[in-house]
Amino acid sequence: MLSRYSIGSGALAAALSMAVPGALAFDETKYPDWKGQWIRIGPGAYDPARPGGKGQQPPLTAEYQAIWEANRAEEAAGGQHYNPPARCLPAGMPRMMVAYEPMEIIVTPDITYVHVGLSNEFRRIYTDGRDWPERYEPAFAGYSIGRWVDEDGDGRYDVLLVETRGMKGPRVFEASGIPFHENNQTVVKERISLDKANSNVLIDEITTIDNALTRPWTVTRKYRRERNTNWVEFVCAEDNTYVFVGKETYFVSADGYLMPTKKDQPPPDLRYFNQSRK
Amino acid sequence: MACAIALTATLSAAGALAHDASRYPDWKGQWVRKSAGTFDPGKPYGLGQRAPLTPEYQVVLEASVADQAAGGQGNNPMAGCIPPAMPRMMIVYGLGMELVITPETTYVLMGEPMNQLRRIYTDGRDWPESFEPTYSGYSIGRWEDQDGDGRHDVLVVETRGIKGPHSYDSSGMPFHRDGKAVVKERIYLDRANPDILVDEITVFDNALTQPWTVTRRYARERDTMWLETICGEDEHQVKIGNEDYFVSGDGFLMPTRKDQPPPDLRHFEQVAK
Repeated sequence: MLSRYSIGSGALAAALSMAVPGALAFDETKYPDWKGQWIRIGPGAYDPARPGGKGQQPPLTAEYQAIWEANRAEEAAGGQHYNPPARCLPAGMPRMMVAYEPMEIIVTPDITYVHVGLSNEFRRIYTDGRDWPERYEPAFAGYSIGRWVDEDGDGRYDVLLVETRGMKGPRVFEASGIPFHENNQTVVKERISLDKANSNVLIDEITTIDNALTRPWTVTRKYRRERNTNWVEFVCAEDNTYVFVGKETYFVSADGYLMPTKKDQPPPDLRYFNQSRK
Repeated sequence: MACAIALTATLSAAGALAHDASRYPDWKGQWVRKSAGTFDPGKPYGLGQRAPLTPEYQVVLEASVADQAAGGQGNNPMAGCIPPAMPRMMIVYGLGMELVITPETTYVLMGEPMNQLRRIYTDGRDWPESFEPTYSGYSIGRWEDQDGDGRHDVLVVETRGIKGPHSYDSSGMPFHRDGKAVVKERIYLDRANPDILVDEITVFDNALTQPWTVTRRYARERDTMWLETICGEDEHQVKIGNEDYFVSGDGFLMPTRKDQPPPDLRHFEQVAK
């Protein structure tokens, strides 16, 4: 028996020494298993715990509350100019985390990538220990730095803390047009983790700090995992029938005619055409 | 000693959970196109590409080139913010692409023009019985260790299920409308320079008289700087029916060619009166 233990110890030492070059490896056992296709649980309203539209009760300043009401009035009249995704612009952060289409999260030691199916919205969350760069180009998805935390001390990370800055506009929180401040100084903080009671549910606690808000606004979004993935591509331009000319929203009918989106809407000004169609 | 080997093997099996990066090539960084933006980077634009098209599809190309000469967009879906499908996306526009290797999937992340994502499955799967066509197509890959050094060096990929409309490049070289194009690739680092990535692309399509092979190269930038480029953001093209128009900076609809008729406004009350 002793000799067997002795051989075993030697083998263990040998195995450990062989493991040293393996430091190059990405030890997946250190990171949570977030593989699969994550599908939104709950409605597409920004705060899924509250009714859509007016029921969202965002903590807007008076100035931005008025902008939101104007946006809702435009929506009610058929316009969509206030809603960038209607023009095939990205939802941007934090709206993209509503995950209108399924989301994939690719975890690597240096970067966690987040891809959302609708219009290929995409984030890089840097987890390589970098500090904020001196300058970077604003993006709809912003610039995200994350930090992994092992909260339960089991040797495996379970929470990704993320801060995102440098968002570009125009953006709104959701389709009803809840606005961000025009200065685009939004900061978004997130805590992303698996539900402890159900590892097939991912939770994103999202706190937005923005000058259009009277206080930080926190919402919690959940996603359920589909391990048998089936990715479908959604390309906004493919069947977007909206046409925007100046501030007016029109749409193109299936048979190719320009149509108004609201009653008594004026047609586009055709001053640059040599002829006018009767 | 036999026991030692057995134990080592057992430990290695546990380690199978880990992604042994040393088994895969180092393709990290930002890969920026080195070649021209034409599909075959070695040949001139348009008819100069000498695409081996059947006569029927050669006519489509010639019509596209003629339309573009007149100010139209021809057979170039990307002008309307439709993503450049496979294999055109491998031209790699703008600030380049990123390749993320995991054991099951190699992801190809494009920046410009539309944040496209390719998933190349390397988990040993077979072709599914059915799948929805996409612009990126459905790609299955196989790693090869050609020099026998214990590290994969070539990713051999086949892509099917590519959705249309798509063209080879902006000149409008067409694919067959049957949507049965198959693209085979060999992706590897240049042996003489590991900061050059090579993609040998062969297209099989019923609009071609023979398979068409081109070789594209990309240069690595290790100090990455990604920019978000959104096609719709600065898009002034508007399509109404079969006509392409332009919206000016000050918000007026404009023609894209001489004597182009304006859109038919019959559905507007002010015009109807």
